[in-house]
Amino acid sequence: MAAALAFDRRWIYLGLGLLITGLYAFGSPEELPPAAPVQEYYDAIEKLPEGSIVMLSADFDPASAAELYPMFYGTLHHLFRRNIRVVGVCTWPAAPPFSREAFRSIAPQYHKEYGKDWVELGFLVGDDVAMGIIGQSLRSAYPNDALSKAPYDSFPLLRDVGDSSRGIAMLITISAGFPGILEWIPQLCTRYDVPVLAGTTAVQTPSLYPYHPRPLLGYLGSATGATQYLQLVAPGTPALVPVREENQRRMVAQGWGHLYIVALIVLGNIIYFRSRRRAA
Amino acid sequence: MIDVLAAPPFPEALSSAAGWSQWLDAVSWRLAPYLAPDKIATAVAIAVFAWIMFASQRKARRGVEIPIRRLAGLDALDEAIGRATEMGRPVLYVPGTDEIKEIQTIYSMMILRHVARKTAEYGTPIIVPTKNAVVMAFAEEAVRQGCADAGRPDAFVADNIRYLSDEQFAYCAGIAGIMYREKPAANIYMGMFYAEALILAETGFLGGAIQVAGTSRMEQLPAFVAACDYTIMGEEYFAVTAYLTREPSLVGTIRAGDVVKIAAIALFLVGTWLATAAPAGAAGPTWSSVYERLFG
Amino acid sequence: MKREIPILLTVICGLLVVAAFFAPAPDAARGLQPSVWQAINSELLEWAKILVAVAFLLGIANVVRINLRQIQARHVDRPYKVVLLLSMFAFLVVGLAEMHERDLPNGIVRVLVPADHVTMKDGHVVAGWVQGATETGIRMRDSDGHDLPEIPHDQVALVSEPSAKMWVYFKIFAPLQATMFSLLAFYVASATFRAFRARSFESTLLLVAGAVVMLGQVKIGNDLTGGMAAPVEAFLMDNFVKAAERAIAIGGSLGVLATGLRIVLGLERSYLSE
Repeated sequence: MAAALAFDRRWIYLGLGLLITGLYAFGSPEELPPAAPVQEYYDAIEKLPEGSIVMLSADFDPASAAELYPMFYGTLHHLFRRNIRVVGVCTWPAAPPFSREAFRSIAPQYHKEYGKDWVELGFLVGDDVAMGIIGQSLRSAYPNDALSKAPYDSFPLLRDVGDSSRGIAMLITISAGFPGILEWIPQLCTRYDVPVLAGTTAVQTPSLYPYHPRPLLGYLGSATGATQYLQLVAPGTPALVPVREENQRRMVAQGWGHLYIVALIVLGNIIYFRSRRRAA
Repeated sequence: MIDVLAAPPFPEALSSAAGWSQWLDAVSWRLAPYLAPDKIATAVAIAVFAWIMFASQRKARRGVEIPIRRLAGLDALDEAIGRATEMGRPVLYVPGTDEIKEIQTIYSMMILRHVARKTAEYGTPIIVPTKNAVVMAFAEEAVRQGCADAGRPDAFVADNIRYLSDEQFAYCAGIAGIMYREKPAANIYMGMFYAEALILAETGFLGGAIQVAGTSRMEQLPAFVAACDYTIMGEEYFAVTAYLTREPSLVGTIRAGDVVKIAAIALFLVGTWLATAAPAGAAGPTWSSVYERLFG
Repeated sequence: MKREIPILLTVICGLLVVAAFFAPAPDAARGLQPSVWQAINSELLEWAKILVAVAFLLGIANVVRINLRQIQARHVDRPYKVVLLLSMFAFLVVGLAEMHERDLPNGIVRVLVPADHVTMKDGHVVAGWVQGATETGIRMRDSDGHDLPEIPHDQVALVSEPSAKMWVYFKIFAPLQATMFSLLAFYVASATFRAFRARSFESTLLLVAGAVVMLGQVKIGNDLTGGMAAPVEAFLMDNFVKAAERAIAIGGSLGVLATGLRIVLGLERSYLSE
């Protein structure tokens, strides 16, 4: 047993690396059936009246961007396509470049005007404490916007939000960990009755279950949730088709990765039982 | 101009669900200038919890024994430090990746003080890498105090309490570097951990160190269970200092938690029964909806 | 006094934050104005932000002290220490230069901040450093530090503002962070191979549930089990995982509440080296 397990672990790593990269490079995209929480996430955005104001929070960093950026990108397309106004905020210091990239590339495609249809308020230091300030008063949290450093009240969109967060119809957080969805819920959602949608990494998804379906209306869990959501949004949005296909290709690689790990569990147990029999 | 609404009246009788619902409306309206209506239940629950906690502490101080079950992970702490001493290698203590305002990090500082006392007694170096400069300052104090508790203030080495980076994975890479270069014989992980948990624990395992972990963050428990020798999980983590010190006030706190948990289970059962018995599609308030307003 | 003052501060601040938590939110319909507790809370939050920012300086001092000492002692890893200190200060300098571009001498800006480019509608490109925008146009400064004539908004086709800070972020920081995160996949593989053993009834249950969840999460896993894995996985997640998650959350929260109460009431002092 010990000898069987003592072999160089790098063989396991090499096998996984080759499998994932090979399938990602040469695999073809596959359609996934949408899970219920993903459908609920999509439906919640569809049900928002045109002109509603949504706060979209980028709470992730480059490490989790592979899983989460497609969710952020797809959600922003979805919101603009439905003529929903968007206030962008970030509680992770490494998130603003991603958020800015998405706003700058997507807003012009829908002829959205800065200050009227969308505003980027940027990063606010203070984690869950910052979320509490945002909930209490968006104006005191952000006296100026992030792009032009102009005063809060110079933007028609922010004037419509007003002082408290009650002007926000919905919060959508794309969240990699702390601070994220689990902090937004007590700091903003339950305090001010703001419904929430979330996209999270695979490891964080089980922690959302206790909050679903109230106050969390729907969620995108991991790359699987992102892919299923992109499948729902892409048909009306040609710009999303390549992103959807890339995610579908990733899912093929991930699927085989799961099988590889299940095979390792089986192999490990075969070695274990053989060694036990030999020892007996 | 905004019309300020009139206060709702109290009901004439409290014999029906509608009456209770009206009473709750009237009470929460009158308390509204002082207490957020949606927080009344929370305030009452905290007050009850505090009362039980103080009562339990008094009981423990009077000498009534409150047993705590054995926590193998904590017994393993001494074993891990002893092994590091035998091998002449340091102990690595990772206080998690969160800030000092996180209760788990504060608790980690309390455990660190105990571990530092032990390492000072044995004359074994302890390395504490931190992800946050404020945590670093607290860790310095905890280790300094631990060394003083052991009567060995000279055992405190300021350079072993290190700030690595506020970036999660830079911090993780820094700790992996310490594991490879300084080869600690015992790795202790106590506090709030995120995605770095498995990377740290696997790297520590490959380095052959004895590993003890403790966190109440459920998502990372499987990582620690898979890669560490002992894991202190969930609320066990908050029993650590009580277990180690047997101080009556701390032991009383553990008992209070158990009493409240039993009360919570009773409330779940009543709530489940009321929700199941509630008539489907009822127009007005039901006992279930009144209960939900009280405890939901 | 050295011990009492920190405890007193903890108790006062803790109680003020608790009061703000329970204070009612402003509600015009009930005639409720923002409470004084919330104003105090906001002020305390501002102080917390300042403390965190100051603590960064402590952190930098610690990094510099420990690494310089190891470089001086000709430690075997000193090349890494040099790289660490150089990268830290280089990024700090570049970031500060970009942040305070308008206030810095021209020579420093020219070296540290990449030039911006404004492409006009007629195809002509103006190079320089954008100083800001007015109601009518864009103000720029040339490489000698002189102000250029304002460029009217209606003549501008594209403004390109390259950033060395963002280059470092996207080309170095982001790939490094993503690489560290992706190591998880490999460690998951080796940890499951080693740890998932059918040693007892409970561990067998755990490994079977783990395998079913992994198979149910992906299409190929579900296809290979004849469509069985996904519904079983959903059943396990919706019932057992949700219930266990809530139970552990409640237990953990009680621990947090007890410790929080002890700290706020000044009963817990060991973290202050009492």
